[in-house]
Amino acid sequence: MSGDPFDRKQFLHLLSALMDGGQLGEADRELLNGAVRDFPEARDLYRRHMDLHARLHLDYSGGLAPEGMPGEAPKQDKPGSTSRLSPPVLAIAAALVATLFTTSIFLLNQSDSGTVPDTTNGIAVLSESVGLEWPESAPKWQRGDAIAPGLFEIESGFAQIEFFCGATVVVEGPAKLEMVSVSKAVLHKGRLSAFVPEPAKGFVIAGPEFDTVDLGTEFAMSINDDGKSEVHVLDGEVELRDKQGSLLRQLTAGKSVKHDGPGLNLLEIEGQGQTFAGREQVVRMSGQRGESRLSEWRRYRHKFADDADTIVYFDFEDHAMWDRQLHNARPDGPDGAIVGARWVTGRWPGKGAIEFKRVSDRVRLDIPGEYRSLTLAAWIRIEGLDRRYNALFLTDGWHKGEPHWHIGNNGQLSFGISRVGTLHTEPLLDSGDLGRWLHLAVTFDDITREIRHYRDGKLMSKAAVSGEAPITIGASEIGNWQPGEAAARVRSFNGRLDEFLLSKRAFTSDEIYDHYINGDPYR
Amino acid sequence: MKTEDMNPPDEAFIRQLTDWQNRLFGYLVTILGNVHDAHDVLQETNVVMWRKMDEFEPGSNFGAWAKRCAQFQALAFLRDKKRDRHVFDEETLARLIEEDAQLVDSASGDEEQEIALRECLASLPDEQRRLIRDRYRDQLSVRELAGRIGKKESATKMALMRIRESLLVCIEGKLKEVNP
Repeated sequence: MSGDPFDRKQFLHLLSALMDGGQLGEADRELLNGAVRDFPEARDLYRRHMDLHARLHLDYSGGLAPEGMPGEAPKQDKPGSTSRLSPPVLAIAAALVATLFTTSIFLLNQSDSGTVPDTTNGIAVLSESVGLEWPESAPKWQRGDAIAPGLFEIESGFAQIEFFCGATVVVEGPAKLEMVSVSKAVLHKGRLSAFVPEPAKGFVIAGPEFDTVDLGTEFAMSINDDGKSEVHVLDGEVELRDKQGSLLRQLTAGKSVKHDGPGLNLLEIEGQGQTFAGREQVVRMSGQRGESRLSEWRRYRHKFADDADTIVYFDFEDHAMWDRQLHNARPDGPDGAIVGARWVTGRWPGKGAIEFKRVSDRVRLDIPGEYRSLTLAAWIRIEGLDRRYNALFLTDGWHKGEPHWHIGNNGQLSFGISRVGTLHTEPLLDSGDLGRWLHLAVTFDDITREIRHYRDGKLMSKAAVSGEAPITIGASEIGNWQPGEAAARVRSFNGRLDEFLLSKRAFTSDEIYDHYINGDPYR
Repeated sequence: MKTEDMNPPDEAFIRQLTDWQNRLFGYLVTILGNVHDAHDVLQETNVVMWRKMDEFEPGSNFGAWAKRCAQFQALAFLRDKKRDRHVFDEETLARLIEEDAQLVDSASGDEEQEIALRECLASLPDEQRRLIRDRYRDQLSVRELAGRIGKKESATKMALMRIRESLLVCIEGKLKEVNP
């Protein structure tokens, strides 16, 4: 039939016979085969119809829709429910298990755990940091990170590292520390002080010539430029042992020794333990740095309030704990209404933020007007990706021209404008990103028609979209979603928000980076 | 600092596997031309994918890999079946498969499709929705359906086709809005 034009009506008849008629006769089969082979529009029609046929089949046969009738609201995820798997999926898993394994525990456990993987191979936590600079090639860590075994190298600044055994070490850059285990590190270069409480007794800092074993409380150690080690006992008692583990010297509070080669000759020297930075000092410096960073950011933020393109700028400053009205720092811009969410601490002590926890928590907005381009940027701290979609900013429902911005439970960022287009990124977030402040931004540019996703000031994904519609926002929410007449799952956000910007201009990559770097709490 | 690949491979794998079930099913229905064979082949495909989990490179395109597995199983299935079970010959199948590979699967489009389908079903007149329900939920044949609504079989078939056509228009309209 390749010479004839495509006969849509006849083709639909054939499809009908295939889908509803049971067995297809040989003549019909030949016709269907020929049409699908020869006509792209036949393949398109066939594919769309078969896909719908499959979906209807699944939806009604208990495949997709354990909830029951179409048109009824799908059940919402139960709050606190961890399993995302629907019964048919579990059935598939169970079938697999039955086929392949004698025990099903393994697989079901796997499917039961959360959607973002649990951590990690860490042996310690970077609990405080002040002005850390890293060598080019070295791994870089942020405050709150779990540190994995391997080299920990800094060029300058102070790092306070809490080992999982309970010992705390303050390292002063430049320094090179090799993280070995939860109770051992090797100092290759630089200065450190160690605080070892009772439960962490036996904590070891190894040097080039000997190991320092702490029997409780506090010591300091350095490797000088000439490669010689010094140990100062500030409090309690330490043992110096050679590499075979034999005791060389026992040192008590106030005593200091210096290695004076060759061999293992140890020279008693004047105690200088006080010159090492300790925990208190680091915390104080860190606090001061936080204060100065906060005041820097406070000076910086005005540019968004002053920018005529700004539609909404929530800086979460100058609010009382009982405020339910969220002030828009852009004069004459629409304010928000806080529903449920409570006031908490933001990126720095003294900085306000709100926390979304419960399914009903949200910030309501009503934003008039039509726009061509858009920028959305936010500083957030995600506590969990509990929902299939976790709302950042969504309009009620999903009408033509309305933007939706959210995070998938697999860590993927999504932004779309109804009837214009949507861009989903690859999964960009994982469990290491929970509980830390993140800068997320997205732009839509009217001229290039591009959606661009940013994470911590870096462009992660971009694509042009084909639809045309002016952007309208109207009734909308931060941190939650009102689906309108459509039945849909809960999309509540779990975490904190301490800065939110909505602009009617598409920011450049440089502007996004600028917004990020000036608000980065880990700098 | 993130540690590379904290994902235990099997957990991520299972999630992808489950995420892709519906789309694999749809794909198999397209290749095989009927839902019953598609069901069987999907089960076989799942087993194969599970066995070959190690061959899947984390981070690469799961959908493409899964479809290749499904396609392989489907072709093996067709080889084993009698000729009268085939809807398409090899040339047509090759064209369908090749063309499908060019289509972009959005990683999270599945739930949107599901929602769109439900909204569209909900907007159908009661009578049409009932017909679809009886056909798909209760798996009634066209003859039984025709008897139930007091129409001829040919008219019933046509009615089903018309409903599906309008569902497609409705769904595709909603998906253009693609709710992210």
